[in-house]
Amino acid sequence: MNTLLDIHQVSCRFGGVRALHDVSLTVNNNEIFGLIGPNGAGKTTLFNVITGLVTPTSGNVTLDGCSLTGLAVHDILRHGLARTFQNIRLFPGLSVLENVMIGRHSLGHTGIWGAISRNQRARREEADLRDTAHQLLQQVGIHHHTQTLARNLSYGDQRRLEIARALASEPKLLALDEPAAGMGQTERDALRELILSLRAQRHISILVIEHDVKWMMALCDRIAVLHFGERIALDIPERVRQHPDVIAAYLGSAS
Amino acid sequence: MGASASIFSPVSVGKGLLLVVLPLLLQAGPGAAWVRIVDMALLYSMLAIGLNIVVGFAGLLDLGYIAFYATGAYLYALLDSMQFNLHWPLWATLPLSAALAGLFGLLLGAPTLRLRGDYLAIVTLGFGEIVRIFLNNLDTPFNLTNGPQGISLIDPIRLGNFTFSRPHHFAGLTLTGTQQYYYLFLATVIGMAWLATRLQHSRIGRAWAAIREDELAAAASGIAVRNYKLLAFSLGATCGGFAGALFAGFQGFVSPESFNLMESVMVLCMVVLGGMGNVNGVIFGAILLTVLPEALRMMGDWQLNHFGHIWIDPNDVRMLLFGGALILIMLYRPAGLLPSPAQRREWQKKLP
Repeated sequence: MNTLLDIHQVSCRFGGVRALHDVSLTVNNNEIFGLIGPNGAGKTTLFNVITGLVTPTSGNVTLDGCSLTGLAVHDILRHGLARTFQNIRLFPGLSVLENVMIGRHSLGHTGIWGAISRNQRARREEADLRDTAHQLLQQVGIHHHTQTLARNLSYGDQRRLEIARALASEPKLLALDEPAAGMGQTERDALRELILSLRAQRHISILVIEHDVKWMMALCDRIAVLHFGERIALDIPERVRQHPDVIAAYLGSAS
Repeated sequence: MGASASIFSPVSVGKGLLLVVLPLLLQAGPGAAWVRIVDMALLYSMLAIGLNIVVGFAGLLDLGYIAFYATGAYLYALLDSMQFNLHWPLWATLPLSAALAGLFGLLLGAPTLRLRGDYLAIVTLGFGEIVRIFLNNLDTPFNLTNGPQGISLIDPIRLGNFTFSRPHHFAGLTLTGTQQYYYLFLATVIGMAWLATRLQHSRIGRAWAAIREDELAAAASGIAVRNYKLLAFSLGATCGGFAGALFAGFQGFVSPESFNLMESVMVLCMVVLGGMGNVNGVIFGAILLTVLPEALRMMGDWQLNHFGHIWIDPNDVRMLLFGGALILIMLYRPAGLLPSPAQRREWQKKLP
């Protein structure tokens, strides 16, 4: 099956506000999929529906054939969907290494007995965990900071750490919520390179929400455009750029 | 690794020896009362270790922790006293007390899972008071707890034929009851501290730390937040129940008054002051906050001996000095006197 994430006719209301209306889209295996739209278009709501923070009024979301609708946040991760947050949410008082190790929690098995006895199985698990965490930090390019507290990292490195933490759970789909927000042009370009290299090395799908349309055009395989809670376009970047509704939506929001 | 390599170093051996001979020195020097004070300090250390699991590891503010101490103490008192003329053996009472407290921990934890910070503090505070008021009033309709009078004539702790409250002779030395309790409590504190440290540096401890740092991010990292919170509450309560049972046997008397809100606040102060999240730190906090007030009490006797009159009644200024010390420590050592390694790193970075 080529489709990984299937969002099917999702609608979401908050009281009288129609945040999402009948939105359908699919993300394929090994695809970088972009979600754009003017402010208030419903991007974040859709993201929250996918990641389990918001239950949709109707419609459902499946990942690799499993329904995610109504699952708890931590169960969604176990099904293979890891995310980052718009306003970075690390474990600020823990070291960089610990942050990544926690990201791999779902793949561990050590319980109370293993923790207390430190039997062979627990020790091996811990050693593997450390090795994998180091590798991940290397992959995102912050391996020289393993013992630094997360809050003392620079802004760009915090973004990278958050991505490493999400990758630690070996997701099928990595969902990035405005990963380039607040970055300068050089950092943005570097981040785009990183995302592309992750896809190439790990063979995962990546879903990105972002404001910066130009940046997204050069990154994504396909892009969906949301406007007032509706999907007004879904296509390859070149055609999305020329789509009359998209132009109207963006010009309209600018005036 | 570091700990096991250094366990036979001269410093560790010296510390160990000091711990072993401490009750003998205290008995010979300042007197038997101080052995008792140190025993209490060890009981409070157990409480601090338990509360630290909840507050320090998982970041859940619990203001009713003493209720678990009360649960353990009362269960021991009911099963080993003239109250119902039951005299169960220690191997049954002690685990039961710990388990019942652990169950109470779950009962408190379950409805408060969605609460954080101030709200959680208020509910736990209420829980602590409920338990105390129940103990105070359960002399009717039938006499379970003996009400405000409490339960007296509780059996001392007995291991086989060894009764801890009775003096025994060892190799030409006579150990008093309080001295023997000291060794029992010391062994328990070391055991609990070891367990807590093992848990802290494991997958479980990291999950707790993640919840403490950012609950949503923890859930998004695949941690079943609810289960880990319940685990923290329950394990913390278990330590409290265990300590409570030992306290009942040691003291021979329990009453609701010993488990009031002030006690919960004291244990919380020990944790915060000593260094939240650091097991050695909270033990240090417990010992400090048990010994200091007693030392202050001695100041009254000292004044009486030297001036024939008590100018400043230690009981009047005790809370004043205590509050002042707390404020000073929080101003100058906000991470506690012995902060956890991560916090210490943080703290050193801020220094010029």
